[in-house]
Amino acid sequence: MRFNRRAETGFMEAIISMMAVTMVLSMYLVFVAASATGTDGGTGIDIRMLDIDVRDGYSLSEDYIAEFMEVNELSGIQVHVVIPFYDDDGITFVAGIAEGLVETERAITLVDYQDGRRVLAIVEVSTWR
Amino acid sequence: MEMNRKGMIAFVDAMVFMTIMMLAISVAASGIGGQHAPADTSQLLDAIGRAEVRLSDLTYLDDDSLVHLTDVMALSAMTDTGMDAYIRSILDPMFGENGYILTYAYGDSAVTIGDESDYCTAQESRTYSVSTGGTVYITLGIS
Repeated sequence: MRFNRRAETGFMEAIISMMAVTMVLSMYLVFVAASATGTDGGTGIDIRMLDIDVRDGYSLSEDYIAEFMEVNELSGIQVHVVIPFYDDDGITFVAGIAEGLVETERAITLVDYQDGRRVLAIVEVSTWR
Repeated sequence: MEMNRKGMIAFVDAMVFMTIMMLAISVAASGIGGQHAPADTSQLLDAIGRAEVRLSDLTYLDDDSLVHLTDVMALSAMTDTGMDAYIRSILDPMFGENGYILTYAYGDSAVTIGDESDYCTAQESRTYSVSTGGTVYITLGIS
């Protein structure tokens, strides 16, 4: 870096400023991209095809899950079903390994419940690839 | 290193530019990540309309009759039945406490749950018949 008589850097100062701005913005973009990973991005799963049945214990279509995992080349999937008011703990179904890029989707769906009830359930699906 | 006035102005200019860019990126990122599918309100209102519960589940009545959820909402609009807590237990985890507004009205009575500000990115209304007569009008907005 060469200074002039008054120790002003001129062109170099402008270049350094530009590099600083570029680097900080790049780092910030990486941070934003990293933060966005794992939020509700949509897994592409069809919640209705899960065929969730909670009339007598919990069950769901494991065939559809296996097919969905194969088609989308997933390493793992987790389905968490909660029935607010009736069963706040719910149940979690896990297949594969929870490693890699995660995407999560949450939806409210109608499920058949005990004694003829049809109630609202919250289904949260997380996928790893 | 001594900076002259031009250098200082250039530095401040760069900082202002960087701040504006960060704000713009943040707004864009939050808009993309937080948006809900347009069909959310419609599907949810359909599900509410088709839901059936035992009357004693969500009211203080000692009656196990199977009724539509919308019937209980109509009753709840007239008298406090604890329906608010049930609705909140479903919508709060989904949209956040201030991420939605649900209003149901029966006759001259209406109940509003959630964020009462007018800002909504998606809003949908439905009218359902009540088994005891009349209709219940439900509006769901997501902010």
